[in-house]
Amino acid sequence: MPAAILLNVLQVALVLGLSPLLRGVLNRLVERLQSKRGPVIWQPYRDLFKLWHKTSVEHEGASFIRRFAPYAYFIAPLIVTMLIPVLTAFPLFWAFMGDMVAAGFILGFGGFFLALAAIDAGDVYGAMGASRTRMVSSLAEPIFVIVFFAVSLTANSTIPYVVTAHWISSAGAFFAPSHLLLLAAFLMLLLAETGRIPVDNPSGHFELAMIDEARSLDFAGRPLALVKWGGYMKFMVLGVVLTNVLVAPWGLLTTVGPVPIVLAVAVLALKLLVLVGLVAAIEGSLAKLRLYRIQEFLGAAFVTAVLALLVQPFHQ
Amino acid sequence: MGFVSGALVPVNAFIGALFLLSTILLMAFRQVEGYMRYFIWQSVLLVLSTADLAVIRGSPNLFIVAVITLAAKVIMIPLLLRRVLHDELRTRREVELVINTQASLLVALLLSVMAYILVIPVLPFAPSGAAVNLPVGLDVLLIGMYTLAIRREAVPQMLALMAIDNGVFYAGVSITDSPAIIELAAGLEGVMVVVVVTILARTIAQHIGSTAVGHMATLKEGESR
Amino acid sequence: MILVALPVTALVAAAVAALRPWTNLPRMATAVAGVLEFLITLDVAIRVGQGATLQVPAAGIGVDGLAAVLLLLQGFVGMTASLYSWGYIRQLTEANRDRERWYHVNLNLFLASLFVVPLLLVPALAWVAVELTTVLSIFLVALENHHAALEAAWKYAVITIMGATAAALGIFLLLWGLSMRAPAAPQTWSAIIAAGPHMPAPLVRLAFVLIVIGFGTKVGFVPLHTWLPDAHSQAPTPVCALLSGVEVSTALYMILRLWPVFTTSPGFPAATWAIVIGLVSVGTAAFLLVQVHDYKRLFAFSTVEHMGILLAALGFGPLGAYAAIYQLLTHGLTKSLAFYTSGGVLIRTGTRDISEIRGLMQFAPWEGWSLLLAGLAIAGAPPFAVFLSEFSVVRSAYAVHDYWAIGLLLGFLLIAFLGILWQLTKMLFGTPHSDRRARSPRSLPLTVVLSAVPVVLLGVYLPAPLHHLFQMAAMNLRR
Repeated sequence: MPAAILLNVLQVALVLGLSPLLRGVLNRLVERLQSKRGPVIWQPYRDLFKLWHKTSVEHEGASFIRRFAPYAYFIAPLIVTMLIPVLTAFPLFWAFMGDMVAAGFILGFGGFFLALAAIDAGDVYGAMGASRTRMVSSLAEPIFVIVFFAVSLTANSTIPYVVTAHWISSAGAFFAPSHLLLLAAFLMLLLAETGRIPVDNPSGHFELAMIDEARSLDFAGRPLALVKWGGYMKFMVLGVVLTNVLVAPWGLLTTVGPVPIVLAVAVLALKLLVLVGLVAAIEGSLAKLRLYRIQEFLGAAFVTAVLALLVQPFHQ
Repeated sequence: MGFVSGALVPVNAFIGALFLLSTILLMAFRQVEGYMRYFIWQSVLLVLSTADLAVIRGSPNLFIVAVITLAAKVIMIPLLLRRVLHDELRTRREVELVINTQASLLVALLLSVMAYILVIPVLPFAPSGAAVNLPVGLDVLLIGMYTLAIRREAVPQMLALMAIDNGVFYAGVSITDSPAIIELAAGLEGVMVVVVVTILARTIAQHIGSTAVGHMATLKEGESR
Repeated sequence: MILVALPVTALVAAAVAALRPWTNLPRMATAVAGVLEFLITLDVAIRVGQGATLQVPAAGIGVDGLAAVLLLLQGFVGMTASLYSWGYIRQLTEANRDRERWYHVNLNLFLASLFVVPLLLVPALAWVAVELTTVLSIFLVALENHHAALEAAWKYAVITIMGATAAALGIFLLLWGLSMRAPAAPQTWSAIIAAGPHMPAPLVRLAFVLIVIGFGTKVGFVPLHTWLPDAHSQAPTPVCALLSGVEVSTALYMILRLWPVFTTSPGFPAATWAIVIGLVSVGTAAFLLVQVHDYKRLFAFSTVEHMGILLAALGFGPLGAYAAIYQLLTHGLTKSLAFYTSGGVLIRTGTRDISEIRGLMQFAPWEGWSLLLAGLAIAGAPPFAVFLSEFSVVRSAYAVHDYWAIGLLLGFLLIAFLGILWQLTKMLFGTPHSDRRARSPRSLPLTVVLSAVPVVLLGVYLPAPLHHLFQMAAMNLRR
């Protein structure tokens, strides 16, 4: 029991502590691919530290939502962390509290409050960003649902731990065409939901073209730090879902001990590094889509997900 | 069935998913260079699947088919296209679509459902591997036909044509074991089709000044010209 | 081996035409080869009719009744088209010797690919040969290189190749059905037909859809006919005659070959489908005939109509099979004649537009009369060959008591008949708009007379050996 508590705390701490590093590595890599030097990988920590110590200014007449939203956005990925296998192959306390659909909803909950907060500020760009993120999310949500349907058809469950165990149960399950199609769809979703190219340009500074970043334009100081950190964690959590639940469920803890834990952390870091490399490669080879082309991108993800659903019953 | 072939069946299924995906990308993409890329991918996957099935069945014929396909589809046809149509390939970037991509994606979805419905009654008789190849091949055939219908440019139309060909052979290699001479003839014929159609496209570009074949509509009934 | 001699003759002619010692050599090679090929096909048909088995299963070639009828048709139209090309292409290419030479090379290659189709016993190879007929005729369609010809060639290439590719999957499916029944059997037509009744019904059904749609595209069944009037009207006249008279039949031959598989598959109503698809084609073509503005398109739509009649005939039992074979031959002979006469009109008037030609009888009596004759023949008036074959189709429908089909068929035939004659009458009579005096090459009338001979002859009299050959071919359509 204490071991389980420890592991749970460790998982949350990992997501908290490593997610800025993950973003730092990603930023560095993307810049490197563009033949620039790029910021040091510790830059996100410095940003967070700097913002944390700044004073926050708030709009006159802004409601409590402005104060509440950053916390909601920050907490959501942490709750999801407790539902998914970050380090362990065996389920922890919260494992059966919610499945992947719940995880999606919890992340959505954070995003919803952030959007509300952006509108609450009464600023043009914030509202625009909020509406755009809503558009992307509303297009992405049915795809999420279909991905989970397809997963549940394959693994007979949407509980992440069960799904993880299913893929490695046999070569046939792992190489099933539906599995591959699922992965492709989920990767596209991950890019859309975390505001990466080709849906959004995270390094853009032009307010009119912003989608994800525009929501946090009006925040300053500590709330901004929370929002940024929440974003880092969201990326990491979705990445963990992709790598540990859907793609490569190997290298997870099966026994508790200092050495296996260190090993599991290393394997996780490696997997995430590969993911980050992939995302960086995509960012390096694609351009940001025009706003109304995003539907096409997500449409492709939708078709891929439905195909996964379609081909599943024939290749059991 | 031995251990190796036991693992190869799921691998074939995996290739099947990629094959379908490459076809959908071929349909949804807007740039001629992109079509070329996805077509080559698709052909490579066809070769891989054929080789995989050859190992599963222990059929030397299928190996020869794989080699012929590799030579014809992966090497010669793209080479030819790049040779003969270099300028057009470079200059024609954005391709005008008759139907927007979102609608096309949904149509592709419906076609996939249709392909499966058509094939389901046949599947109980299917040999190993065909359960993936047959529906996916038919689906690629249907999506390819649709792609052909919505393209206006000569090169994309031709690549859609070759994608249909890939789909048919993708399904075909899983259900038949034809003598190599037939495959050789079919492979040569595929190359000939490309040569002739490519030259025709170039002639059209020279004489009419564009390869927007979809806009050619002088021949029709009804109102007097 | 006489069978191999057929495509080889055409290939040799192509090779000779490719040489360039003197300018008349290409067209001489084409003409000589055309006559030779006809004589060979005649010989093959006579021998097959007498019951000789011309089969070399080891080499995968052979000819039976059905193949012999098609070969005979190919041989005759091939010959007349070769002779017609003599002067016509010289005039068309305006003494551009390179283009003329290239035309003759290509024409002979095209003929070689056509001859190969009925010779092959292996369906997969026959499919390759059918694809080759398309590939080798694309540049013949595009010969004139202007906008309309290129457009027609492009549509022709893309649509028919697409169709044939779909048909390949159908053939693969049937081969699969064969391998379920007899894994080691040679993959020939007869093996597939023998295994047909034992194949799983869903498989045969799927193969039927793919094959009828696939080759049907090349035959020009409605609604897959859209390319046909374009290609068959824009090509130079001898090529039109070959495309409309022979190539379409060659694609249909593939369906005919596999027809027993579909009819013998338990629970599959192949006959009904044949009648439905056939009548839809006949009806659509009949109504489209009325509104064309181009007399070559008129004849092209008549091809769609005739192919529809032919397919419908397959649904009318054993007599229908005979009628279908009959129609196959008469259509090819008559349609080539129609295109030859329209080629003469085109040279004389310089236009394809019906509304620009008036009073042809007055200022060009020879072209006018021949066009009238060919028009009557193709529309199905007695005493021409098509009348008899269409009559036998209706009679076969009567024999199986399919009165609905008879009613519709007769109605559509009447519309088509009136449509063709109404269009031609507009051209033939009235006061001439112009008095163009372009001279036709002298080889034209000769070819027209030559190709009119069987059209008239078969209209009054069917020789006993030919009748016997038809019966043999009809047997090939059944089990």
